[in-house]
Amino acid sequence: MRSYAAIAFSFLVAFILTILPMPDWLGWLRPTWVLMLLIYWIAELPYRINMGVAWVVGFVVDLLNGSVLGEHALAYVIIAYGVIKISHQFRMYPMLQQSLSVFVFILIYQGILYFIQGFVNALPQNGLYWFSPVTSMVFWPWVVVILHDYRYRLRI
Amino acid sequence: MVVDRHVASFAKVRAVLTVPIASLQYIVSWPVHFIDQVKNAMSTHQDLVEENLQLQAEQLLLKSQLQRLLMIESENSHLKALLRSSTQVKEKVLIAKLMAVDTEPFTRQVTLNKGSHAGVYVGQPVLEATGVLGQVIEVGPFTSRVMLITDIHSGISVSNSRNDMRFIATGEGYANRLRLLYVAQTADVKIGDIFVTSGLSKHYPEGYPVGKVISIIKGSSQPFATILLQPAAHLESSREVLLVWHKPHA
Repeated sequence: MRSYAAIAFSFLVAFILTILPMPDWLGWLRPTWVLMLLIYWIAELPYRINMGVAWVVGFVVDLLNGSVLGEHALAYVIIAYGVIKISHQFRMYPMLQQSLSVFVFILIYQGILYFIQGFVNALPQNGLYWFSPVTSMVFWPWVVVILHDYRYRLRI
Repeated sequence: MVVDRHVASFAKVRAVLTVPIASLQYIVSWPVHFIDQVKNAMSTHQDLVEENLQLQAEQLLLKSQLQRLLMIESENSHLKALLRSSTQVKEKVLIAKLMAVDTEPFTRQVTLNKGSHAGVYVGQPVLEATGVLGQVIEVGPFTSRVMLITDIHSGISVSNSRNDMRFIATGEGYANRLRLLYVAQTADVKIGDIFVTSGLSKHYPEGYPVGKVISIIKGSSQPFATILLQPAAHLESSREVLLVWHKPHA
């Protein structure tokens, strides 16, 4: 029970980071905090954090962003499926390989969002949109270190 | 996704779902407002005196203009009464603050700290000191979401303040521009023309500035001229906005 509360709290922090006000151009480069967290928890605890959780989390992100309900939920579920598939290898990867896999996952995620945006709204015309996976990749090792420490302290 | 976009009553479900989100938004925007308050508290006596003088001068200026305006307004309403037109002059307004929260950069929306408890309704026009900002698209109990006039889903009926030609202005999305739809190649529009709300649409009250023409592209290969407007309101930098209760004349 305590571990679920701890995981929920980590997502709360990610939500706050997602809507933290930033200058316009930095907003485009904002790492996809929630998805990074999701990838981490799914890779580490694939039996507890599953695609259902990914869907619920995506739903909350939709509400926060005012986007069409289900847009992020769909993208998260697809990524979650991929992460669950390789979660056993993923944990064994060296850090560099992990970062590169995260880069690919988030690139796919950005691609899915791009398609959905194309159907329901305007396409992101700023080239910086495609650099968000890079910032996510750069932040990945730090996220892992912080979360490992967090888990160690709370013994999850 | 389909339900959200096509079933109108789903807006109520969404409004309920915004309640837990609102608490999160208040948590995030609190430090920014707090820093603002601290900044206010720490400003020196000298600064305050200077600001006070400046504001007094500005008030004097505005008051003198207001006197003229009052006269014109009474004259106007008198003339309208003569013509039996039923345009209303006074509107109820409420000042709301923008919450310091971001959305994804590809949604042109802002969040306000007033919701249905303050009587905000969907479709309500939102103004800023220098012009029209947008309209309310989603109302929760404590927050509401505003679609800016530069969103591609936004359309606003405008008229040229120089010659009263009416067009529809729609958002260009990210470029912070508006575009006029279906303008004939021969239409009399010049660079620098100011467009104001025409009052023909149900949502926006009449006569508020929307934008200034910054570019006109005419070509015989295209059926319509491409005309871009720069929004009159500071869409990116405004902190406080006006919610207007606008009853479209029956």
